[in-house]
Amino acid sequence: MSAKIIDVVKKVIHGIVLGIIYYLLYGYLLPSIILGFAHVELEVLTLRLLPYLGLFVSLGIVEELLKNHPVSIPFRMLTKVMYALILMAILNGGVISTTLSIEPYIMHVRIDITLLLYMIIILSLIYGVIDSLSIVRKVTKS
Amino acid sequence: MLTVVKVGIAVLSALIVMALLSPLLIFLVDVITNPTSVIQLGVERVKYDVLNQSVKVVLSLYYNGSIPLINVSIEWPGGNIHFDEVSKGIYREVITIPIESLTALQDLRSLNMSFSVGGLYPVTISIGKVG
Repeated sequence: MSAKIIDVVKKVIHGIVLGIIYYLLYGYLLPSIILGFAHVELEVLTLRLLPYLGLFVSLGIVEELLKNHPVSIPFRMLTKVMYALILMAILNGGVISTTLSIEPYIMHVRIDITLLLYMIIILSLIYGVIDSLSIVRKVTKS
Repeated sequence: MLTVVKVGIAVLSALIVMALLSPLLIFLVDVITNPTSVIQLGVERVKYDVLNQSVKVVLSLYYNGSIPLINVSIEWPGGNIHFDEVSKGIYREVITIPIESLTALQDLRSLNMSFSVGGLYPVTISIGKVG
């Protein structure tokens, strides 16, 4: 009984770490690189993205608890796509706008990076399929 | 075997994203390090046509960035100009515009510019003069 509880606690901790890693990649690192160049202040960005941390951690925990279960096969694939879609939502669908002031002019700049985001979604989907295949192999072996 | 494939996919993904992102990053670094001289517009009057209330001008576009700009379009009240591709250098076009739009063009009171960085990332810039 206690071994089962320890196993669940281990999986939850592993899920939390996994969620934080995915949050740092999709919810912080990639938007910081892209928006940082567009002069969006990092402090504002961090506060705006904090609610996503909870979502990433929750998905990480569910992913770990369902590990080696057939249900996790489509779930793993969908979470990878969901992470990429969250990145797209954070980046305003791929359209970044900023206002620059160079006296005596004001410049409104709009950059469309949807191509890059579509590529990240496709690559996330491919990674999700590969990840799911490893579970299929484990399930068929056991 | 699958672990090797996963690592391979991760490395390939990072390389593809970096390859796609690099033209935009290089362009933004050019703009940030030299905001006032990456793209410059120059207007030189050539000839007034009082009868038609128009003026012939030489519009020069100076670009000092490393990444080529595709479909460069510049619009201002009363006129516009288009370049298929702009690489590092100076581009000159002789155009005829209404006299009243000459001041707007010289002062950059209101100007819209659109282009695509390396043909991958569409950018629109609206410039307005304060005061």
